[in-house]
Amino acid sequence: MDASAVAGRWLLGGVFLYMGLSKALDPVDFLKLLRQYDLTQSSLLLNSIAAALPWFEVFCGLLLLAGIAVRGTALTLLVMLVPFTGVVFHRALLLQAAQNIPFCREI
Amino acid sequence: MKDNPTQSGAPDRLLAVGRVFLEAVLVAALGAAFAFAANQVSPKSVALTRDYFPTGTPHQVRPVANVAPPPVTGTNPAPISAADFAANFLAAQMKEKGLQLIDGRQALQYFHDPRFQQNKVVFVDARKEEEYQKGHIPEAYEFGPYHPDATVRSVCLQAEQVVVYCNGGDCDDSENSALMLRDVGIANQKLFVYGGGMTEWLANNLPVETGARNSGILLKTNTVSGTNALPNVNK
Repeated sequence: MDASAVAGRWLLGGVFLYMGLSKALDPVDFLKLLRQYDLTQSSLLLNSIAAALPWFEVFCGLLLLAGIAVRGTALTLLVMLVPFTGVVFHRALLLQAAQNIPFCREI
Repeated sequence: MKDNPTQSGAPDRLLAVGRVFLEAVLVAALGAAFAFAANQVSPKSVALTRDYFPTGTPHQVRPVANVAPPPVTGTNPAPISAADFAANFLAAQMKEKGLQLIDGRQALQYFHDPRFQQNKVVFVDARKEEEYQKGHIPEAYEFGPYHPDATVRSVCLQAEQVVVYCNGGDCDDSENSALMLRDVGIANQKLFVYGGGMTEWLANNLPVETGARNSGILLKTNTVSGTNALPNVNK
């Protein structure tokens, strides 16, 4: 067994489990945060994302920790992270523009 | 086989990749099912069909939250703070929805109103449980996102004035809770939203109760009540 692979999936699984649980146990804060991303007008869709996403992360985290369907889970998470990164980056750019934060600090 | 080792391996590899994709789809489907089921069972569940934000979506409510107005040029008036900017925006939004906004002075008057003792004037805390427990206006009812309470509704129906508050500033929980109360039958002229919220109440050292409603446990530094003056209100 490849020790680094095991360590890798334990680490990733642990992170997703932790992040998922902390959101799942306080979904209203997550809902408010999601709302700020202005992804959708539909409250049903917004509520569904806020309701399901944290527990989905928990599920994937558990699978990784247990070593079940690791490749499939990893692929799913990767596919999930692509739009996330895009959305977060987009919002960061909006914030930066609105607050006139320089993209890079001059040292 | 010796000449083209990769070619014989290719269909196997393709099969393996296909298997991984299938596995991913399965994980996604099972994960979604698990997620929605867990949400149904969890005590902190999100009601899928409920509109938690009757005030509207973010770009209608305000520009990016906690953002200062654009930089001042020579001819512009003095810039206001980001908090004031957000608060003003929210006040305008509330006016649009027909909600009545009150300031700290009026809130304190309602607090000292003799009808307050008879539950004819009622305060409603729109924040979530942990924040409510940490400190709320004495005898305020909890009406946060997990406690859209039927008892609060009946109390408000019998009251003459209902003051809804949250943290203040750019927090719009109070607005959303007020609209929710209006939707369940509380008359608009009875409803008031205290814009300054808990932040302003605390800043003025007004009495704060902790724990459950009517616990009687007041915060040490905020036990002085009395005057109708609010020295720190900046309006």
